[in-house]
Amino acid sequence: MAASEVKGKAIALDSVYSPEETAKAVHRVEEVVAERRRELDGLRRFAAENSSLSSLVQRLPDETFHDIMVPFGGVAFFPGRLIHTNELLVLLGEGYYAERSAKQTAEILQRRGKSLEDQIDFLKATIADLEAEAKFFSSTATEAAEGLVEIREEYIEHSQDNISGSSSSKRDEDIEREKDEEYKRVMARLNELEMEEQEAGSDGEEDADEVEQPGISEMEEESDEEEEMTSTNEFRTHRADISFSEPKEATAIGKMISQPKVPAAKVVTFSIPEEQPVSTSESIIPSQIQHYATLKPTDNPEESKTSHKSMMGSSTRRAFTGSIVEHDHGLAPIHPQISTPADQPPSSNPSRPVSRFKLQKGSR
Amino acid sequence: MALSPALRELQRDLESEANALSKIQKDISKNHQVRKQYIVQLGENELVLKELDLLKEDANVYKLIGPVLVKQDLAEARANVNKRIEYITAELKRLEGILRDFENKQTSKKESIMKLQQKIQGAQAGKTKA
Repeated sequence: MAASEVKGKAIALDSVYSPEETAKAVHRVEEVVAERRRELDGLRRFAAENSSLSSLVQRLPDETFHDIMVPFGGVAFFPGRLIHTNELLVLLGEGYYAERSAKQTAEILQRRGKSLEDQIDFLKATIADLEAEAKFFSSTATEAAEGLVEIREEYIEHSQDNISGSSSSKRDEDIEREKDEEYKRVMARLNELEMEEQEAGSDGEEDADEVEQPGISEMEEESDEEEEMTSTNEFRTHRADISFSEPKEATAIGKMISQPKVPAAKVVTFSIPEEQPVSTSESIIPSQIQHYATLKPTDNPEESKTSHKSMMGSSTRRAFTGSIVEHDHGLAPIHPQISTPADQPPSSNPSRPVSRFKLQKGSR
Repeated sequence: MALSPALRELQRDLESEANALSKIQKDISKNHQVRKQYIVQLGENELVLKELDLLKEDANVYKLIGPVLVKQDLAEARANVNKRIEYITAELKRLEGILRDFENKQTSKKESIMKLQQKIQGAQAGKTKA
């Protein structure tokens, strides 16, 4: 997309639509419109005849007979008398006649009038369409005559990252490369942390305190990294604060990758009903990101991590992009003195998740 | 001057093709007219059938045959009209098929005429150069 490159081309309108041709088209359409108008007039005449006939038929049975002048051969009349005023032979079409009373005839005529009206409406719509077409043609013709120019430009789709950036493709590439490198770096760091985590997890069972300290740094670093990654990878940031002593004792570990070695692991996503109040309260739920939860069978290191995470979550309001760890129901509840963050009342425990959540929300 | 007979040949071909095309176009317009007529008849028959369906079973129905009105059974009249509608729709379908056929022929003829015209132009250009 060099600046010198021609971005579009201008086409003189009268080279595409010559004025004579468009004028011809207008003429043709107008002819059709005139034809339709004639048809419409015919239909209107029919409708008028129909309604006058209908009123006549309704008046006929008022008397038992009518004195009339009977037409004779088109030129002469002689006086006569119309009897059986309530017996009519109605032509239904196609040579079929039906013997009907005046009232029934009126009904038939009414139906016919209705169908005529429908046809008239249809014709009117057609004429309106054609007139619009003719108008379009004539306006095109005048535009072409005025020497209007049509400009066509290739539409180049910009990716979301470089909307604000310049249109130079070289810079785009640079940005892309930078992004790629950054992504790789982040992923490498994540893997590293993963390893550390696993090591920590394996010996964490023996010594909870030892695990706790690296846990903090790990978690925070990871969350930072993750946020970076989410922004670079165009993931939507997920600002869900997890209340870690919910009934299901869901806890979060800031990790993208689950740990399959854990035996009692349960996979949860944010669509689980118990989780929903938490997520929706934050109002940003990226449905496309699935969070896999891991569960560690141990209590102590896990809980320590949990507390760190929740503390971090409440203090920094970091984007939560990691996984959710869901404990089995059978597991012992988290010890309040460990799992309770500083800004949360120590009295809160799994049995009162809602109030605690509210408190957490209120402290914001 | 060696190209001249070939050119004449091409022009003769073009003429015959153009004639064939105009014949096809005539046929198409004829087809359109017939179809229009049938469509009108179909509409009328449907109207008749609707009215006949609305009649009571003991109503008197007559059919105009030539100068006389012949009394007809209502059920018979209905059956007749139904048959007529069937016939007309079948006929319309047939005409539609013929029309499509004609249109295909028309486009192929148009293409061949275009080709011929290009050939003639090429021949003329060659002639003027030579």
